[in-house]
Amino acid sequence: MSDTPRTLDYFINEGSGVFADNASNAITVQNLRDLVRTASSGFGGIWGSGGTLALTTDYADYDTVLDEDSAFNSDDITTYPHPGSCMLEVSVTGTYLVFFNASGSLNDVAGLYGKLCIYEGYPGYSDISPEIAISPSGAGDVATLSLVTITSLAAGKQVVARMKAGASRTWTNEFSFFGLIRVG
Amino acid sequence: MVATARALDYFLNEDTGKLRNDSSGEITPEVLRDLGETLFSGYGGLYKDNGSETQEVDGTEVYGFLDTPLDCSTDVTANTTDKRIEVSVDGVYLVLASLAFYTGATTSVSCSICKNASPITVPLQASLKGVGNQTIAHMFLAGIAELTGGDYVDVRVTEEFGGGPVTITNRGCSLVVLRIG
Repeated sequence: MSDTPRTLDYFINEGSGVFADNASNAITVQNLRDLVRTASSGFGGIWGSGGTLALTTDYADYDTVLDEDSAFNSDDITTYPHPGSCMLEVSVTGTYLVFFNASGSLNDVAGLYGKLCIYEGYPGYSDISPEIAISPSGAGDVATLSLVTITSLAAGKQVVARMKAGASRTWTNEFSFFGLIRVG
Repeated sequence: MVATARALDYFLNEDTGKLRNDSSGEITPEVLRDLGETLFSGYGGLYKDNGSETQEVDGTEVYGFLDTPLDCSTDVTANTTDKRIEVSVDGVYLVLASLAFYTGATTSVSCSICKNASPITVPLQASLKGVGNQTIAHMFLAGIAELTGGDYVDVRVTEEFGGGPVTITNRGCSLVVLRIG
């Protein structure tokens, strides 16, 4: 693969308008591999290690603890790690695999619930994944919540992970990752 | 991205045999993106929201809560009757499953992703506590399988104690496939 991501324009020769390496006007195996990567891949993510989050019985964005940007984001995905909104925004309409993994503990026993949503503008959210419920067994017991789904997203849409508890609790994050890849 | 899937013939000019958009005669970034996605995208899934549905498990059974389709490409079918995903294009697929459930009885249950009823992942096992506790077992399974057209994948759940059927209660699940080669 090329060291730097290509844009799709690169593969159309400016002079002839045909599919070719724009620099050399030739097609190589390397060109084809780069084209496939450029054309079919869109990916991005945010993550965080440590931190706490106050949970209530109402769903809220899983934010603040997602304070790191993935080192690998394509140029058509915009990531907003904390102090941003902890959302992922797509600029290409397509179908996306969206996934979220949160490992941590509550300060007391309670149910823990998570789901993935499109943020539709305050106060609207659309669910794009099933709600998953788990039951951390007690204060400080580490549990993991994993979500995965496939959904269509129009350009400009923002997705977010959301969480709530069966009672007001403090979530202590061990490690969380929220990401997506375009699959169609 | 095109609203409907392209056939690969679309990207070959009928007269010249070269790669190009057959309808407009031009190559655009969108054409190249569509080509890449046509070549590589095959995806689909099933899910069930957190609820209170139950399933009686005696021996090994198909995980029965996966009855709602996620978005699927034209070459992947979410079979909501048999709770499985069927593919029509040969390839290598990434298969992911997230499962959450509990049982009222003290028991041990394992789950695995299967291709044509044979496991492609090591069965993950969870011990479930007694009546009234309702401790949820949550598993995330990931496997890679080489599938040919007509093959299917599903999740199978096994009651490991062998003491007769146990009832599991759904707390949310999803199963997705993605062609990666």
